[in-house]
Amino acid sequence: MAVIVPQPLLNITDLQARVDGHVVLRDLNLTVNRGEVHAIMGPNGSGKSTLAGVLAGDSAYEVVKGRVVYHTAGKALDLLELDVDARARAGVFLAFQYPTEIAGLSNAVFLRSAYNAVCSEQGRTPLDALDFDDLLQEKARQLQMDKGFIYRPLNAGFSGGEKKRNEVLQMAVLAPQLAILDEVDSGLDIDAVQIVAKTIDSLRTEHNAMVLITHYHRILNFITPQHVHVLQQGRIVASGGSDLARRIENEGYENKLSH
Amino acid sequence: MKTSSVTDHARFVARALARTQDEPLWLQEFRRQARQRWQAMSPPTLRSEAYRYTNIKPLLAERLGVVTGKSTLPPTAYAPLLDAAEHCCVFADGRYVRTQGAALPQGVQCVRVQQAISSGALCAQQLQASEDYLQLLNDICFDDGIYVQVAAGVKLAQPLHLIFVNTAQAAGNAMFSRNIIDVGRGAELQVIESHYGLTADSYLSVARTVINVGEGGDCALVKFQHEGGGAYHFSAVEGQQQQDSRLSLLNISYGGRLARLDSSIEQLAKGAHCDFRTLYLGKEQQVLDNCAEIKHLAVEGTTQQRVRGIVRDRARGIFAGNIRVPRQAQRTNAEQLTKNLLFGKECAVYIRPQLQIEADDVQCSHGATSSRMAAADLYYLATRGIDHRHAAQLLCRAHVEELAQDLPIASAQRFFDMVLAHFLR
Ligand SMILES: Nc1ncnc2c1ncn2[C@@H]1O[C@H](COP(=O)(O)OP(=O)(O)O)[C@@H](O)[C@H]1O
Ligand SMILES: [Mg+2]
Repeated sequence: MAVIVPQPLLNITDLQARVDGHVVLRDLNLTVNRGEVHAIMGPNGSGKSTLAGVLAGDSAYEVVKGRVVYHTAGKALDLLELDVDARARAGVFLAFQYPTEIAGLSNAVFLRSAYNAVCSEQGRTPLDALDFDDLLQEKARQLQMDKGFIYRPLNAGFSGGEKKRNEVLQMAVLAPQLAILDEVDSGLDIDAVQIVAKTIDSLRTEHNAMVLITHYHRILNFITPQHVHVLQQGRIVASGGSDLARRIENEGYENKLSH
Repeated sequence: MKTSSVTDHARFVARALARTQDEPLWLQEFRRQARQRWQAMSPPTLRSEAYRYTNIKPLLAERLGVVTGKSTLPPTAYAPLLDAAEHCCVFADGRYVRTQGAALPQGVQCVRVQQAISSGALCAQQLQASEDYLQLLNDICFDDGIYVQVAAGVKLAQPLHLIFVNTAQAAGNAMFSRNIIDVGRGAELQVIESHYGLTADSYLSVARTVINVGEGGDCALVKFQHEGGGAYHFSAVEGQQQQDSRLSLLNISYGGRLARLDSSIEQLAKGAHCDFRTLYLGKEQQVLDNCAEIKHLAVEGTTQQRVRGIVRDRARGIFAGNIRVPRQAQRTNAEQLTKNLLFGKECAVYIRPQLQIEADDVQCSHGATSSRMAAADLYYLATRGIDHRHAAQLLCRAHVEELAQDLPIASAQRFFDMVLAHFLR
């Protein structure tokens, strides 16, 4: 029987980060292999978005120590050394908890710019407006998004749920190797959670990986993670399989510290 | 010894006047009076209300001449401005050189102003004497431009494009142009007026366009100002609207070291509509000054005024807009919105929006905003792989997008593309 050797995509070692002088991530260690989905759960304020922001390169967060190695195209990159846009072009994607609204910038124009920026880096052919439109419409259909959305100004006037769908639409179009999804399920009703979750699940391949940050268990009914971690006060206090998420659902976060 | 520059300009004016001896007496008289007024006037300073933010001292210190040699201007030199569907009248260094492109339909007269003057098609009243220091210079010195007359009910499907190119010959010289546009009852006309500089040396370009839109007529004017980097550009647009007419103006101010545009629109009879848009994009040390006055003199007129500015480096953008609604202009609907986007800390915009309302049954609103390029927006675009320059371009595009929608002349889209691509190069 062939032994499947895990291929690391992301190694986080001893990561410590501050915001406004407060330490919000402490000695965080996490390894994500290709083909894996990791769920990170934790109460409000535990540092989930901070972790996402540090990985994406948000300058609001100051990395005090630690290393983040990102493996791509046969190279091990020091992720923290890369500019925000370079990380994205190397295949890192963050679905924002609170996506930015930009009036006047059409979703489609924006996404084609992003798509072509990512493609040119990865040696794929850029698409002209018409071909890109086909791709975009197909992805929007899968997410059951109204066609009109993709031509509307980026997130401007979108409801909370529409913004989340739009984040997933971007993920579907950009096909990242590492997707960090920050509470992509919040603000969605149960039907929408299912549609969004199924789309995300359909994007899983053996080459990519996802870090699914969530507050609630319900999205995990549609996406089964290999690993679940509990983040509390900036530390991973428990890790386990998908059953851990179920236990949290039943027992809350309180008990997890003592495990 | 210090030379008085104003004296120097006076010498220039005398030279320009000497060229007008063959003109009809009424025009000579028109110019003589303009000169008298000009001489009695002192140049505007920062204390003059209309020039509060625009210092013309550097211009006054320039020694100006008139173009004497012949300009060479191959069509390739201004090809980026062209659209094959347009009828183009091309001027080099203030002088007509050629007509090219699509033919004009019946019912449209399009001739040089001198021709319209000598044929008697134009009279002093249509020339409209100015009160402004620089536009008075235009009254005294203008010697070229286009007179367009569209007969009642005639509708042009394609734009007329007046292209004023300033070549290397323009350096150190002053150019004056005058265009007069008459759109008859129920007629429709689209005009593009481009000012394009091929030299980075200093020169002065003073342009004036006078538009009359007859009852139920529809006129669109796109002014595209892309002078050379050393240019002083002073432009005026004067519009008069008859009953139920429509006047759409789009000003794009991009080039020059100092560019000033004065627009003044009068709605003379009921139910006129004015769609007024201004875009200025300033970089380096540019000063882009835009003044607009819209007078509602009759009932049920509407004005939609939209201004967008973007400045970077040490540039300054200025917008002074005044909408006047006197007592007789009941049921006026006027809206003015100015939005500015600033890059960095050294650039600035000065905005003076004004509504002067005396009528009581009106709907008027105005608003003005200025904001720095948002770091959160740039970050969001960066997380999608878009590099800083491209992200800034997209945000500039987003900032002006509302102006670029439903353009009065659809093909003017190309000017937006051109300046936005160039602005952040
Ligand atoms: N921009 C910020 N300025 C100040 N404090 C912040 C900022 N962002 C996060 N924090 C603080 O850092 C901690 C972690 O926040 P966050 O990572 O957003 O938590 P979570 O996403 O798990 O709810 C919280 O105590 C929060 O108040
Ligand atoms: Mg959060």
